[in-house]
Amino acid sequence: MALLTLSSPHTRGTNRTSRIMATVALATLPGLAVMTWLFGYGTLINTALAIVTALLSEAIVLKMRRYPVSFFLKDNTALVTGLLLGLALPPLAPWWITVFATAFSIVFAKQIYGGIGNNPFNPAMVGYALVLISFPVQMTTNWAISFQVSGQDVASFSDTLSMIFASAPGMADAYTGATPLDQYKHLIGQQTSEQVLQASTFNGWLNGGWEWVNLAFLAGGLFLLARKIITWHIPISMLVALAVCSLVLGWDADAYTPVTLHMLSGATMLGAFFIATDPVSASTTPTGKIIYGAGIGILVYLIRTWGAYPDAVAFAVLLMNFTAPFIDAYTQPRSYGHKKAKRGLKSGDQ
Amino acid sequence: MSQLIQLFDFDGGIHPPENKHQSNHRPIRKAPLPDELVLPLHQHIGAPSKPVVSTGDTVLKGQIIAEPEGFVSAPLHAPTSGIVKALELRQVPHASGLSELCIVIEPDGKDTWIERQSLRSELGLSDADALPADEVVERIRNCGIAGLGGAGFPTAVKLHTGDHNIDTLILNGAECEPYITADDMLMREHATEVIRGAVILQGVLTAQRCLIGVEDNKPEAIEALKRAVSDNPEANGVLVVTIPTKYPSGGEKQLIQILTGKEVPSGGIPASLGIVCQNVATAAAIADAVDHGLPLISRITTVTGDAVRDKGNWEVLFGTPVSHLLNLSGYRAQKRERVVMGGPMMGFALPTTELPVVKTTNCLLAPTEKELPTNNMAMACIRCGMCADACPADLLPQQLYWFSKAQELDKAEQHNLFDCIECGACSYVCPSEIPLVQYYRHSKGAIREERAAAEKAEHARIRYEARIERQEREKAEKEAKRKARAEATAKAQDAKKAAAAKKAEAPAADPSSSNKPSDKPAAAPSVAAAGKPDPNSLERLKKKLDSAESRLEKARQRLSEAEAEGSEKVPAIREALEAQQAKALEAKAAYEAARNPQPESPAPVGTKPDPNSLERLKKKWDSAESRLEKAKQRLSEAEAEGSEKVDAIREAFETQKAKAAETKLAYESALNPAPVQQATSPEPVAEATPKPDPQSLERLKKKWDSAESRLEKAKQRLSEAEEAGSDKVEAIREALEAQQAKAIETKAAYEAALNPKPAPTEASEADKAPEINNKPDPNSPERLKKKWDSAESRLEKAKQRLSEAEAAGSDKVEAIREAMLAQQAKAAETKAAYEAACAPSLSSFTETEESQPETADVDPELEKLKRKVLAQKDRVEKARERLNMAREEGLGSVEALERALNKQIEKLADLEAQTSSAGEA
Repeated sequence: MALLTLSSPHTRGTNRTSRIMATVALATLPGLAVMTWLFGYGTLINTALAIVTALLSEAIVLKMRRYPVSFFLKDNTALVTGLLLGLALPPLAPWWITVFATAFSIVFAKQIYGGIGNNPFNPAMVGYALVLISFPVQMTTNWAISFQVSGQDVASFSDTLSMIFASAPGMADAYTGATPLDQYKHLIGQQTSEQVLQASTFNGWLNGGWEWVNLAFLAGGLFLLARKIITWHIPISMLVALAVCSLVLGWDADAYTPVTLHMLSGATMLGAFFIATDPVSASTTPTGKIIYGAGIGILVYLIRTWGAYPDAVAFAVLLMNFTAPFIDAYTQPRSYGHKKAKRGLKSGDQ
Repeated sequence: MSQLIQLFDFDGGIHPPENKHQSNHRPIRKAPLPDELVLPLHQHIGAPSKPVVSTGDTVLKGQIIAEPEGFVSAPLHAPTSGIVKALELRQVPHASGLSELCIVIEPDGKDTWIERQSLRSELGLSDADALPADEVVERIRNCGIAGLGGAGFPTAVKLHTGDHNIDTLILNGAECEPYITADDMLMREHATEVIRGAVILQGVLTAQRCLIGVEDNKPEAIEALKRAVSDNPEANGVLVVTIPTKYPSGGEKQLIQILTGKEVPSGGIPASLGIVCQNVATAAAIADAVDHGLPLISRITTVTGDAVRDKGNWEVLFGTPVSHLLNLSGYRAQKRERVVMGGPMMGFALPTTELPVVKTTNCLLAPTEKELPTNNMAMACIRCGMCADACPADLLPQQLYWFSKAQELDKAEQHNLFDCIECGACSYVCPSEIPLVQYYRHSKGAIREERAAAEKAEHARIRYEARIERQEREKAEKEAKRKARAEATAKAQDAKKAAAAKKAEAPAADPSSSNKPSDKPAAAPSVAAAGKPDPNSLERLKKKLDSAESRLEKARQRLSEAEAEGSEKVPAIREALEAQQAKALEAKAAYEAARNPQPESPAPVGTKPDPNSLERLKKKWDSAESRLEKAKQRLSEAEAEGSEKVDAIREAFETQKAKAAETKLAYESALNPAPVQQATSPEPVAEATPKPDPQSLERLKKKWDSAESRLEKAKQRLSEAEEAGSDKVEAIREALEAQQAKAIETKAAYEAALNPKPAPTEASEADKAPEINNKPDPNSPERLKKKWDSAESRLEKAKQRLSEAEAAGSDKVEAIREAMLAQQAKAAETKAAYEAACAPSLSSFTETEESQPETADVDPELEKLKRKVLAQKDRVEKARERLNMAREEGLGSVEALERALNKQIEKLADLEAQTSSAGEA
């Protein structure tokens, strides 16, 4: 009688990739809800569209690669990529932007590199950067403004659908406007901080609704931390780096965007907790994660302040993706029984 | 009770479901005797023990049945009284699933103990005396105690701490693996023994303190231990420490870190920190061994898992089949049947339940599929880093995984792969269900293999260089000897010349004798033909010598060039150079040999060079040359293929070359004396002939001696290689056989030279009746017969030796069989030779009778051919035999042998055709 001879360990924890991804998706819900509440149905529609596109593209490529389709679709990674992309794109971006960005991120940024686990760059951010560079107008003019700012109700579901799918420009104008980050950066050259903040976008002192979005993503991020899906290293180091930069370099609110705006507007919290923490493309050692996160924080500040684009999370993450393997090689932890940690990839004693 | 020490934490670790409650609620039971006990000789780390009983022996319980072999080893004792049923290979519980030598005991059911006594009474000590440490260690070793925690390291070895000063003894009672409760139950029920063992160990190690680490999920055990400590007045240095439950706190390194905050240096041992760690069960076994003389013959094993109804702990005799224990526990075979020896984290799945419980079997886990699901398909690593968080060794498991997967072994090693303790925590937490530990095991194995290969290559290099050095040295020695000899002869010559010069005034015979040769040729035309070469050959030899020397010079140049360039071919060129050197020396020797006899020729050398022998020598030379050619071909083929055997083949080639040179030399030396004889001894034939040429005799004798000595050396080398288990054994054996053949050949040559009694008669006969066929040496059949007889007797002996070896199960059987076969072949050869020698004389008789007038001069030619055909047939037969042997044994040489056989068959056909055409003529 031949017994089953498997190698140890013979038992496994209950951790599964699909569950991790599902938890990540769950953690985005507060942010999604707040965005829908503030900006209308655009985000919801975009997100749904992105998820469908992501799953479809993934399925098609898996089929072409002769991989088991349902087995890999069930890992929920495509779902998360689509979801994050949907959250990151302008709420009223035309449908083809969303579809193009998502399909590109799944097919080119993920599957062509070998699929799950093999992509050197964050797929969602590759898609985002692609459409941001390719279609700057659509990517900057379709940011919905919150009902608090516009003083009117958010667009109805059917109006939103027609704005997204029929690209009715006239209709969208009523609901879109510059994002706080964008506006502050443009106005601060001519006005003082106080004057800028008088604009309706800032609602007096804050970010015209974006603070709620960021707080919601922060809540989701804390949930992930609590569930030990992510570790504190990347988000905290990124936020700290960003805060330190804006406090030190941008202490003068009349010349630079103030720290509150950096921390609580744009994609800061989404980036810190959901995008920079993508494990596949990030650094993996504890020290490495801190360096990696801090690098993103610094880059975000630099690009936001001196770059051409109002926000910078996508570029900062992609740039740091390049460095992750190198960082990993030089930040190995000290192993048990060793006097000091090893550095680099060259073999040798000690 | 308050804990007096600070606890530390180790990084990582996991909290898998403990699953201990199933098996720790009932007391330890004694497993009944099975029908047979199978005791592997290798139940510990180190060398397997050596059996000291044989089949049929009656053994008592506790009797030593196998002794330790080497320092890191442990003896084995009979777990019960009974009869040794067998000593045979049985599958053993090891992840490899291999079979090893086991002692099988059939219990007699009486369980009769050997006499046993405590160490104290054995040494005649009173209770107050301290036990001498070395005696205790000796007792521990003699009782076969090996680490019962799972690794099975011989305990006595661990107590030899060398120069390390031990201050802390740690007893490992953590038992962090899920499901296992063997140590838990032992601590509950045998706490006194554990504490007693701790005291003994502490005494041996002179450790100030003893810390017993127990996870906090075993409160009963902790309670029992603490009670035992307070009950034992000697145990004031013993401290029971409760540690948090976390896997793998029971790992030696982790437990040391928890209890002391120190880390065992990578690649080091705890003793370097002043710490020795032992399992609690080992401590209890030590107490039993020292106080009661109980050898280690049983252990406590947990039988658990949902596939058994009756979970619990058993005291099991070693050798008890797993199936026996499972049956006792109400085992129900599952659809996907699985039995794990050890825990779910680090245990290994048994290939069958017909395996014995051994010293390291702490648990038998028979889970259901539902309980411990088998792995799903692994998904890709998403580098989530959970493995790194779980790793108790602070490694980067996901990096190690990527490196292992990509076969980047150097990077894996650089990432401290060998610090992995294979605890399985990373696999446990991996969300992608990647079998990480398997990857690490594989990589470790691959790296070890690589290292072993590198080491082997290094050894080979050293061996090769040593051989080259030795060869060079020997050559130099030979050269020196030769020079000395040459000088001596030169001196002798000078002396003789001086003497000759003195004599020169009254000489008359000398010039006349030198002019005389023209008289003789008519009588022996063949000799005349052979007699010619001298001046010629001298010249030729000189030329040869010159060319050899110039070639040698060139080779030297080439070598130095290659060395300067650092070419890879240096060794090859060096070898070529050496060959060239040897050739040059040979040529020189030949030249000198040819030059010297002329002036010397002091002895009235035997009449004419036996035309037969001359021919035979020529033939020998030819065959040697052809064999050399073949060897060369083979060598170049092997080199082209990059075969591993190149070295061996090259060696064979060189011996072949030497042989060819020898035969050539023999031939030439046989050829040359002819004129000398003519020149010097025209008249005193009758007197001269009986005496064999003393010079050549001496040379032959020397040759024989040297062949014998070389044979001796080869034999020695073979036995050394066999002992060392070298893989060149085959090659060496072949060389040995070649040497053997040569020795016999040289001996035969010597003997032939020694007993040329027939020659005179032959010669006289030849003188009297030159037309009579003088070729089949009339005496030779006799000699051949003798040879045959001796070959047969030797064959008989070889057969006997073979059967003896087979009976003894010696591992040299193969070698002996081969030798026997070689002997057989030789016997057949000598027989054939004898028959061939006999038959032609008969047939020649009949033929001469039948067709005397015409065929008289055709006969010898035809006879020779016929004989050749016979010999060829014999050779074909032999080749076929060899081929069959090779086929049977699946040797790699089949093809070559096939080719050889075909060649022989072709030759035979050729000869037959010649014969028939000659016969017709």
